[in-house]
Amino acid sequence: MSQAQLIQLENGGVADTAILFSGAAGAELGLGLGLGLASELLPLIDRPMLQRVVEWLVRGGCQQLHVVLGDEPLPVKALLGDGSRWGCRVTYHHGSATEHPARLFRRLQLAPERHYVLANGWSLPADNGEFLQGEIPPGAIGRAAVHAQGESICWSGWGLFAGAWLLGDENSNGQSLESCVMQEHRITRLHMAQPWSAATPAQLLQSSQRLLQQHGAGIERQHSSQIHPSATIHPPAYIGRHVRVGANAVIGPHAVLCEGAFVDRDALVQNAVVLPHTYIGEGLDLRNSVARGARLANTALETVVEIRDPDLLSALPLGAEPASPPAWQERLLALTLRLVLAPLQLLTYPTARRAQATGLRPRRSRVIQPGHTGPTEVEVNMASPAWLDSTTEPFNRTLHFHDTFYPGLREVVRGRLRLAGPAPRSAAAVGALAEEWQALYLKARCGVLSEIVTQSIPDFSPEMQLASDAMACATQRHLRQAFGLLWRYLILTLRDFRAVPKTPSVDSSHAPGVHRGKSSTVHHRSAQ
Amino acid sequence: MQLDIEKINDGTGAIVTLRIDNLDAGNAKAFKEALQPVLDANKAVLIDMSQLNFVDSSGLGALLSCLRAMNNKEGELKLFAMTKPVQALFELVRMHRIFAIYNSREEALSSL
Repeated sequence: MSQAQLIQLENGGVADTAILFSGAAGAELGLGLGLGLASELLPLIDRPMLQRVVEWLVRGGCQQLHVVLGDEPLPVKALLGDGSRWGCRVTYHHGSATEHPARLFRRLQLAPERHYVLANGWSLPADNGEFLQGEIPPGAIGRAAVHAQGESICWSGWGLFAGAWLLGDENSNGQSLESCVMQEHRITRLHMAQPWSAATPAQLLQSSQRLLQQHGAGIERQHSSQIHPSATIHPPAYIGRHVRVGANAVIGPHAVLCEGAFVDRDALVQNAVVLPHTYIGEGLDLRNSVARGARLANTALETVVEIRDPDLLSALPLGAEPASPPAWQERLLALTLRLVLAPLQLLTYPTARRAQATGLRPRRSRVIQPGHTGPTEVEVNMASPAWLDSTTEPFNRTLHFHDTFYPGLREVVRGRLRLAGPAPRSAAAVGALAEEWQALYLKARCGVLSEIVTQSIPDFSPEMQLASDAMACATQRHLRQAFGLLWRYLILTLRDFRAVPKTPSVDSSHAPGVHRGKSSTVHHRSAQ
Repeated sequence: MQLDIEKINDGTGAIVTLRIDNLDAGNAKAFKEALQPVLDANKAVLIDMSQLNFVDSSGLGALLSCLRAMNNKEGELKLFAMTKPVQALFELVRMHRIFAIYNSREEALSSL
């Protein structure tokens, strides 16, 4: 969609005010999607339809928007706010499907001598706004955008009309606004192509496909999306932010995966739209459909069905974005730390060597990777923090530095771990935890550091571990928190290292910096 | 479990009409138990799905189990008059490639 021209009128004035219908207030114009969300809030590719409408109006010169709210005003208000985001003023009015528009227009206190743009939030004319340009002939009331719908011609809900007509009695004879527009001979009806529309699943699907073609019919992929190497993408396709595509999945042609969607392995998405934060289960075949959460609108069958099996189709928790890999700043910091702390790594080698000789700490471990459903894990070249498991060993911070923290920095550079996060655990270990604990691991990426290991005297009770991991999840996005942990950890590590006797004859389990876990017995761990 | 059974093909086949709205975890087992004697006694079974508006994975599993039973004895199990929501689910899970599905009773009968 190219930029709309300024809406100029015959007298040189500008129609800078639009009346925008949203929700059920525009029911007479046709509304209904069955997907559990108002049409105008559904995304057309990458942003809600309503947002596209507002952007279009503002580009065309509208500075004042009167938004007529329907039954669900809150999401609309949350999206539009006061309009300052787009450089316009938005005022809200409540309307109902039963209220005649003429009464509504009187409530808006429209000026009879001015012209106003009438718009709706779920569709957008396909002609780039040109129909609103140009002079309005003397005696004419305005112009309206119409399009063919099957055998008939219908109004798109868009037009430019004189305030006097909107307020007048001709408009309050009990007929619907569309009927008035279509019957009024002083309104010029401009025939155009099908509007961009989210009013029905079929229209949303069709509009998405047209927009994909208009964008070049290629593959548009947003950052932070994760696509398995074995998945296949056929153009045209759109892959939104934080989308995940599993192994051997086939996406496209004509597939739109909106933000946060998750298409599991072996699934097929073709000629379909997967709305935000929707999970498409393993092996499913999604064609000619729009999926949102547990609802599926099959446009070929013209039916909407609710799927009760969450492993087939479900809504992903909002806000639970796939925990993204560390940003480049964090990776650079980790790389810098590996260089700066290399001498300390060498100095702690004897302690680690002694522990290795007793078989205490295997050097490789498996760490769960965040995901929406079902854990995945990777093998990393660092020791697992074994004191968190039931078979405990005394916590030795020097040992933790040598075998877990320092090697773990490499995993941060590789993007597998964060500097700070929930304690690294294998998928099996996470699966054995309580449900609320498991959820943390689906939302956040494991970290090399946690609150517990930065305590002077670590407390490894289950409650403290949960609190530590929960805190890590809540603050993971803030690098400053990681800095604080890092600083404390390094101070304590240096203190413990300097305090540990260097002669091999001293029992290290009684040295400062060595703390007991849940059990007071030291176990020799076998390799994992 | 309400099933209407009608004999066809000189008694070698049967048309089973499901008088239920849902086939789900709550009644899938009862459905299998009710249908088993019909599967055992007939070479071809046609299931009228016109009154079924909802099926979940348990219901799909029950239907698959019936299909397997008929295939094992080289019989036939066909579905017809499926409602759109159920058909959408079948297409989603690719079951429409596993079952023989017909639009109407006549089509199903003529396929025998």
